[in-house]
Amino acid sequence: MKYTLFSIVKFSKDRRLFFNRAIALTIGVVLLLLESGCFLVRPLESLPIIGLDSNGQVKKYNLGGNFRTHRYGKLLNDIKNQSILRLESIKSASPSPWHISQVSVGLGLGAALDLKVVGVELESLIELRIIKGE
Amino acid sequence: MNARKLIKIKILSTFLTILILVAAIPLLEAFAEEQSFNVPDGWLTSAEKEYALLQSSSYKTFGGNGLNESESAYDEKSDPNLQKLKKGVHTMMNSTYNALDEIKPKRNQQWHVGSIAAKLGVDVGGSLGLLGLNGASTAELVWTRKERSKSAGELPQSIKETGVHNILVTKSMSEEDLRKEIAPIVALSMNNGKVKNRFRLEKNLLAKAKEFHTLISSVGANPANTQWRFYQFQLEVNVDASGAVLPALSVGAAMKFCFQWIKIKESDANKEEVTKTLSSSPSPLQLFVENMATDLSSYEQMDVQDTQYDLDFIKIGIGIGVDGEIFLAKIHADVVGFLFFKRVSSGVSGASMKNLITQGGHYLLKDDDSKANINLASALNVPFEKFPEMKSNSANINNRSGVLYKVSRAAIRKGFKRASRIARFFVRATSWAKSSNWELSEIGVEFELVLSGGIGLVTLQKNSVIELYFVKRGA
Repeated sequence: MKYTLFSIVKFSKDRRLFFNRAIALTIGVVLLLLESGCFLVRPLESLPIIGLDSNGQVKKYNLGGNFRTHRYGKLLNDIKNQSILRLESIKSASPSPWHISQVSVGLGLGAALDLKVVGVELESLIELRIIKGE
Repeated sequence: MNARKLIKIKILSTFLTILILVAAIPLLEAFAEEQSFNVPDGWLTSAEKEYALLQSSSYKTFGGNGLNESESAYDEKSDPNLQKLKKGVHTMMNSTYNALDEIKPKRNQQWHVGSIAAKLGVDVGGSLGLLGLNGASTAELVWTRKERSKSAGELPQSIKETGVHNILVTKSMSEEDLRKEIAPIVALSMNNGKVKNRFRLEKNLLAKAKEFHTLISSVGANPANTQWRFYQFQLEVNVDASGAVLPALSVGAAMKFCFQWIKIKESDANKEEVTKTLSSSPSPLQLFVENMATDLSSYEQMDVQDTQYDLDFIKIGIGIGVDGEIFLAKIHADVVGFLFFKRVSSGVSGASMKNLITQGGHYLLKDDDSKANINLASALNVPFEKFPEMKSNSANINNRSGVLYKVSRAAIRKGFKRASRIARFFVRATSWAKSSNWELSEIGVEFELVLSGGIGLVTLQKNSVIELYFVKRGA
């Protein structure tokens, strides 16, 4: 870019001209960032989701995009933390030859394309298999 | 040039720069790697497609079941569509890793995420995606955390062994032993309140356990000269809230049980037993197992050498007919159990392999009586007969209507060849992406079968008949 912020501030005596240049420069920088984002991110980020709805019709979504996959990851992490918190709080009431060694948490897409806990085998997008032990 | 003019020129040049940048975006995108989420049309099969192919002039070229005879020499690297799909799968895996990398382990906790499983689905049009709604899966993926999977003694969780209550059954078990094995499972079901009628649940589970016991007792040793051995049989039982048994793979079951028989080792007693059995007439299950172990052995190498994955086991969904005949179950509700075959290290010599693969015979495939199926069967001279009506109320025997088609073993063997090639692609494509925290430890690819022996990827509305499971070496 031809103009730096310094040059604009230093050499612009006309306040209106200064703002015009600043806006143009901001738009240019934003577009440059978007452009580099498109170029760098698009080939690396795309997460198509497919499945049948309750009427048996094929539905497709795309959860792609750098920010969205990170957001899903954070949701996954939150649900994992909540699940483990509950499991850690379980205390055996009496001695038993049986103990729970693994809990599977099925996570599916909610109405707002967020994550919700669902049955493991039905509509689960991803399944967290939480196990006990080191 | 006065100052005002200069300012105008400078503003104009700034907007021009912006315009050029905007125009450059599509140009830059054009340089981005081309990717696709569509599997080749030839990887999907149906009776309609096979019949259309049969009618076309290219049928002879494609060897009878859509399988090109020269496929063994096929190089996927030279196919631009497959390269695009490979990049698409790579992108999908990278995006998944970006999400999984957000899962942070915490110290000083007894519980932790041992593994994460997800499925891929394909619609009839060939679109591939992560399966996020209803529908049959095409591939199943299991990731384990890198530092966890390296820790001693921890094995990756098997894809199909979650969400069900396993009941281990051995041949030597008496009725009392079976009752004892079932008792804690019944107690657990009553305690969690999912089943209300204890008596009915206990009675039905015991009946299923006895049927299962009878079935496995008819299986002897594996054939001596094959690379594959039958090592596990699972019978799934779904029970509703009243304790009644539902057809396998039912939706809405209150509890799901799995009777599991695992062959630990080939004992001498087993060998004697099978010799006796074979001298009279082998049971349908024994015959099925022998044929399948032999046919699977017609492929010497199904590993993916350039990745780090080995074909670990093959899972086949079966149904059981009125007279105890074993059939490959195509219709979802017909599946009563799964046979697992594992490859043994000792190979078979080339000479004996040739003898094996020239053997004749057939498998029974149960499917519907659609026009496409009947047309295809008639065109290929595949014998078929209507599935006989049910004679008893046993839940082991399915009473759904359908047709039993006699599919030649030669056609099935060709189908396996195609399946292994498609599965290899998925293994390569999914294992291409890497993460610093997670590694793909298991990949299962599922296939459906048509009566011509044609094998294709399972689509959302279908049911898988054969599943190939690859496991990472050393995982």
